[in-house]
Amino acid sequence: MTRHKINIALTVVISLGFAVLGYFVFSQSYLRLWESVKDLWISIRFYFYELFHIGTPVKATVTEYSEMLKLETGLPQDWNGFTDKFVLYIKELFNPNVFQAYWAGKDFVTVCKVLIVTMPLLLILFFAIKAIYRQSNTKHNKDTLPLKAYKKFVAVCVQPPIRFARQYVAFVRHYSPIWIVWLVMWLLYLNIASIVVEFLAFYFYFSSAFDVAGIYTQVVKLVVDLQVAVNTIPVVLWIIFAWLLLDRWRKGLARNRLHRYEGRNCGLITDLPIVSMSCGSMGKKKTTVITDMALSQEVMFRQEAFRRLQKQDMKFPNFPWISFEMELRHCMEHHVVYNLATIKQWVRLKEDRFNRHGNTNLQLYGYDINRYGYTFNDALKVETLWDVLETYALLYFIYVIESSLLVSNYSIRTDNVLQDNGNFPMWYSDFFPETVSCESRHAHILDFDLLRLGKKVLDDSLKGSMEFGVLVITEIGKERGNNLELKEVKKVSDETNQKNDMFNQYLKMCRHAATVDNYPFVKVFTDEQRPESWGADARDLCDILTIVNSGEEKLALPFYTITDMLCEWAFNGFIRLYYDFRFRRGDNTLLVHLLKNITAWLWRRNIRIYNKYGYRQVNIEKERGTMDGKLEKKKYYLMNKKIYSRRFSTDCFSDYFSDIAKDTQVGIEDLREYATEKATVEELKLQNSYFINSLYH
Amino acid sequence: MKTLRRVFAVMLLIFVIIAVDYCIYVYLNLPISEAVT
Repeated sequence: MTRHKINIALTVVISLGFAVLGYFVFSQSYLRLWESVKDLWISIRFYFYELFHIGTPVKATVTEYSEMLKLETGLPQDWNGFTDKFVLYIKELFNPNVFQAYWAGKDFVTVCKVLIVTMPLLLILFFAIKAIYRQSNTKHNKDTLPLKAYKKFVAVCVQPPIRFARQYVAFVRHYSPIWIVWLVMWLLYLNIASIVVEFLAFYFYFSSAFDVAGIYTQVVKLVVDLQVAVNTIPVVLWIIFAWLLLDRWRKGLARNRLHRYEGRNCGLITDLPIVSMSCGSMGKKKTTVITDMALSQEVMFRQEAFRRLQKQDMKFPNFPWISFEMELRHCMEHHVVYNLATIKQWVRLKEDRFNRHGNTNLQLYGYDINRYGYTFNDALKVETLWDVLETYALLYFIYVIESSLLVSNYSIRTDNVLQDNGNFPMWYSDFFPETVSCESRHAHILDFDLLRLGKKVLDDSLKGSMEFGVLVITEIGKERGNNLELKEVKKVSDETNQKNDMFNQYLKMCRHAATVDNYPFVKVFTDEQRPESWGADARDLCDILTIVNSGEEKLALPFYTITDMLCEWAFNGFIRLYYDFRFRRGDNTLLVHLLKNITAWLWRRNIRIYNKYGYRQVNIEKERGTMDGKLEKKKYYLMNKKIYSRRFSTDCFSDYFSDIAKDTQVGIEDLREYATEKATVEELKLQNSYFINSLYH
Repeated sequence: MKTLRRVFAVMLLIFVIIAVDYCIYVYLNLPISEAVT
């Protein structure tokens, strides 16, 4: 019998089981559904009669209690009874006698007895295990007999049913009619269908009768209908269901909180000038901060282009924008247009053709100029359709380009997804998605010749290709130097250097190439350990962000303190035990195997939570590049899910050192050690120190 | 700070459990209380 046939047979058996259950246990639910359908029909008739006097006068039955299901809880059937009982309940709640009776009812004696009996047994077990585990051995990776038996048991009795259950769940999910039928059956059984029908019936009744007093009756009827689910579903399932709901709710809260922090970060980035410099000593997370800012800025550029597109659209609301977009994308695919300059050229070419031939079908996709207009007056200036088309095309190009907008001297990974159904594409740029994104793009390699308006290291092949985007330059001072370091460098030199390459002029003028619709789509983020490491001419353009400190890691997920504590206790407790065990023994035992798997499960779950919802606050002092001493205190949020999802390598220049190290024939073990606590003269000379050498020469 | 937060969380949890249990207890014993009053 194949697995598929087994699945079908099991589905039939389960379906029959559900049907039998429905007949014997939930038969009242069917009758209740029929009753609620009758209520709905009468309410509809009532609604039309009250509104239009169609048909005959009827009395709505939705206001009456069910004949099929009776109230089993102590809830009063009318509003007055409810208020009386509520007052009594509040009185009893704060009644000291009732409070004493509550505590007197708790059977603490039995709990104490159980503790007294079990404690010695547990202590004996603890010492027995300790005595057994104290015996040391070096049986590397050998399983003990109990562990072998356990593994065999799991392999034979536990794993096959789990494997079968998993594949069966996949089978049911694949064949959607199965689970839909089951879902409908259970919605009927648990009276959910009746509740929905009753709600509709009351809605029709209430919309014409406005019977506010009748709402209480409906609440009582809801409680009666829910009795079926409350009485039949076990408490454990309710607890699991409540836990899942709570978990979902708090994760939503955590994501909202992270999005709010991201919004604050975007506010800080928007306030920065085009060039900014983050400073801080080693390990202060300055490269992390500029990477994080660059990721946000890339998304913000696309959002800004999108917002401005919408406004261009409104200027000529009847223009067939989709046709224009399709032609532009076609031109992008065939490399007819590839930057802002060629787009301007392309639009002007279309304008020129239109002016020569006047063919609206070819150049304007059938847009009726006489009917819908050719110019737009915004009370400041008059724009022609072609001006607006040019701006629209530039913005659309920036928005739709399927490439990273980052250009950097180290690699940065982005995972934004362009969702496209062949119409207007939409970017999915959530840094906190529920699922892991499979898309990966990396920043473009920054060829510094792109930024040199004067002499270049190689040639002019890339001249002008850097129009818009986010430039990220780490360790800018080491690349550009400061006035002191460049003292010996001459501007008139034949070779390209920092004084004749006009890099600073590019920084001062880069916004000119990147401005579309009066908005500069360019931003430069740099970092260095000290601001003075970069020459004042360029540094004065920047705002300097000095990273004061980064706070301890916090969690945006609420109600996680106790779970966090348990995970930490389990891990710390087990690790101490485990490495003591590993020091003594080389074999694998059942107890350690079980404890390790439980601890690993807790640890893995905890680390995922921290990676998804963890964040830390970075305290920043912002000042002008002129360094006039006026500091503004700012906060920046580094969120784990955003910045540590393989975004960049903190050791981005490590390959340089690896390249040198792999050719040497020595490691740290081969380096000579001092013979005693005091270095000898020979040992001092081995340091090749300027200071020591000067003493001996 | 961390320890204080944890102690507070545990105490809050115990309080919530007892409060919910007590509220249910009072509700379930309400008819008897009604008779007494």
